[in-house]
Amino acid sequence: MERGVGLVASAVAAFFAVELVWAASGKIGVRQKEAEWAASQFVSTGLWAGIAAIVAVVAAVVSLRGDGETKITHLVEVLAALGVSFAAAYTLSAAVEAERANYWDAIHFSSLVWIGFLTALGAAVVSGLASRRGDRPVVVLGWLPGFLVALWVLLWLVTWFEPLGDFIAWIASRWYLATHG
Amino acid sequence: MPAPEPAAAAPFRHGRTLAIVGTIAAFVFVASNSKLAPVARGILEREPHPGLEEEPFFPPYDATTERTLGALRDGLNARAWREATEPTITELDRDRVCIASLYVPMGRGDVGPYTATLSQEGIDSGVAEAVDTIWAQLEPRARTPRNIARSRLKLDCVVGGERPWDQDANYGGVLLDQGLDGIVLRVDGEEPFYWLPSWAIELPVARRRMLRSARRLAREEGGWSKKEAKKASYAAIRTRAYVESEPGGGVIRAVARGNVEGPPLTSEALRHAIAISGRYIARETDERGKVTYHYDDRKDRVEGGYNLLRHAGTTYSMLQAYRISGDQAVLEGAERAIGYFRRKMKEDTKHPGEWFAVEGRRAKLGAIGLGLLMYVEHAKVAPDRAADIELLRGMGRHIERMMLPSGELVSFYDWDGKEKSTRKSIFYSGEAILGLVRLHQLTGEQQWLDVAIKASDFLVHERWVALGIRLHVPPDAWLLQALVELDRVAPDEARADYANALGRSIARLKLLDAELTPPDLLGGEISTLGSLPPTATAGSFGEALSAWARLEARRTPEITRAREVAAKNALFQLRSQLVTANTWYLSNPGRAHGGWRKRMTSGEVRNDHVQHNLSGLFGILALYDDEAPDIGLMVAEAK
Repeated sequence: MERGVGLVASAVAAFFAVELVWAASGKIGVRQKEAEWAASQFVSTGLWAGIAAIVAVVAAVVSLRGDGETKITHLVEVLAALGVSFAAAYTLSAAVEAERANYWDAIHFSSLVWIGFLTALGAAVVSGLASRRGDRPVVVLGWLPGFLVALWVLLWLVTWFEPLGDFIAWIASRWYLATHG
Repeated sequence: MPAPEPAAAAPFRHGRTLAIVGTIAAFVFVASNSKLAPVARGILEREPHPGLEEEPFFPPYDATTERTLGALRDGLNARAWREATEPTITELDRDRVCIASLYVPMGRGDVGPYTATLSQEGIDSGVAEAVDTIWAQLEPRARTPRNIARSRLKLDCVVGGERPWDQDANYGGVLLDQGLDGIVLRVDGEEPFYWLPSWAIELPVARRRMLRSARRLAREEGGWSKKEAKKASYAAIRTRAYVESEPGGGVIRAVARGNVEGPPLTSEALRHAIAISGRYIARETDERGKVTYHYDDRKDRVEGGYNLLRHAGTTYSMLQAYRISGDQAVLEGAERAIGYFRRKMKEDTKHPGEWFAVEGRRAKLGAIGLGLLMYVEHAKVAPDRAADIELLRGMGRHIERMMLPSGELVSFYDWDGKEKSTRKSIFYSGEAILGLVRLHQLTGEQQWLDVAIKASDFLVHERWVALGIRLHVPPDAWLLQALVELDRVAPDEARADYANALGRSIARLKLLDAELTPPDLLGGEISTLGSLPPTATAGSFGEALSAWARLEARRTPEITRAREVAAKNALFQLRSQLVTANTWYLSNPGRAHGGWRKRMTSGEVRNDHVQHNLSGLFGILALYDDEAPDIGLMVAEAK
């Protein structure tokens, strides 16, 4: 029973991750000037992301209960959670590219950050616990969730930790000067 | 003895190694299939031009070049005035290939250049031959004394070695520098064709298309066949170039990247730049008060489009220029422009006594914000001719109506029931707040200050903040100016901190390292691979950075960070302004004089580009000139 719940939850999460990417790809135009994506259309897109995150968390919880799960199920759950996290990252980057100036999207951007971070964290926890149990399939991805969590934390740091912003600006200026004499 | 691994787990036995190898392979695959890889490869292949290790960016004064250009000028004058005088010079560097270029501004994009390679065989005859060659290329209508007196000569002498490159590896033109690198094409049976470095700026030509342009011009100007141009070998060259500083002659000025060295940051230079840009806008203001929106200085043609916000901002800057120069023509131009804006205003029928401005069908918040700046500036400089203060109060009341209970300002007013846009402009709020602060400076009325504070507190505390995350500090130049002026009458630590954060967010976009940055790009904005730093945003950021520097000087005079950034930005603005010395290649340099274009390689001189640059220099003047007018002057009665 638990095994079934984990697999179904993972499948649903993966479906919504794909749905999120699909919605973002189709609706976020990089040159748009009006609120084509952000306002009404994001409601559905954001909803998918939120549902995907919840489902991923369900999968993680089921996984943590553990005993009825097979090793492959753990791997599928972690992959599904990572899929949601990557989908959130993709959507966020497409949205920032398209609508950086539109601050009414702050709530959507923030929700994507939280969804991305929490699903990556969930994947990291599940894979950590599974690895500790010696589930070799999950070991294959063991480092990736942690890496993704670190990336989300880094993104969060960029929003307020000014030395990091200065460092990024420094890289950008060096890159520009490396291509312009 | 441990139990053996079950067979089912065998594929995962080397899972970690496989994952690492797989990830590296994925990164390599993605990187090699993205734009990044060729650029990175290009960066690795970029190398200093051979033989120019000690060459300064702007070459020093060169007496030989001055004599050569003088001799060429004498020869042209003799031809134009039909005098018998022949050019004479006493020396010429025989080791270098030198190319003379003549620019004759005939308007509508017709300027040349007409070029001739100076013969190395005989000094006097070399110059005479060059004059003959150039003269032969001129259309008859260009050969008049008047046109020759308006022309400019430039001399490029090839220096250093030649630098081959692989065009196929030249992703985005990364192996060539626009304005610094020229190209020499060689093919059997033809003299080499020199595509001069400054042409990338003059024509202009994108860096990735420079070779293509050279091959095309070898056909069109050099008379090469298509086959010859296609199979010619190519190499990058550099030149030491000098141009006559004035039409018809003048002292020579060194040229680098299609520009001459800018003036130092002094009160005189700032006042001069402000004054001539004010005159540019006044010249471009027609009888109806409409200001040319987009003038293309390469084509010498006015392009379409208009924007009422920018009209108001431009008029505001004209009045700032008048405060510096006292030029009556500038005030008259501004007053015509105010009349144009006034005709676009409507009284709100639903709320009598409230005024907004309509362009097309739209009533933008920013138009009223900048309109207030314009009207208040006019009241400061010409109180006897100023608009009725009730009109300005009506504009203030309209802004107040556009404010939601949270303090957020709505960008578009639905005055006719047809406004559908829910877009929220990043800039309108700052423009409106600054307008209200200026209205307070004029009237001393607390009401406007209260609205400005509430609206700015929303932007400071709530904009871009959600679910516990402050996502972004936007480079909002108008808000920064408003906060700095608010700080004088209603100081608040949170607003001051946010103003500093805005200043730092803008500073991060800038090239500020004098050790690493070419001197002409210092203070410019980090741009894209194919672009030189924009001059348009140097203006808007100049307004913001000079405001930030004034805040720093007032609050923390022991720190000079903001002042240094603002100074570098202002120097970039000064060297980007279109002045006589750096417009030798325009077909109507007099029209563009005093303006700023979008970037060096663009012909787009838009009225708001000029406004932002003018206002930015006006803002920083106070730090270099004790006599400078106060940008946020509190009118005596209001005090």
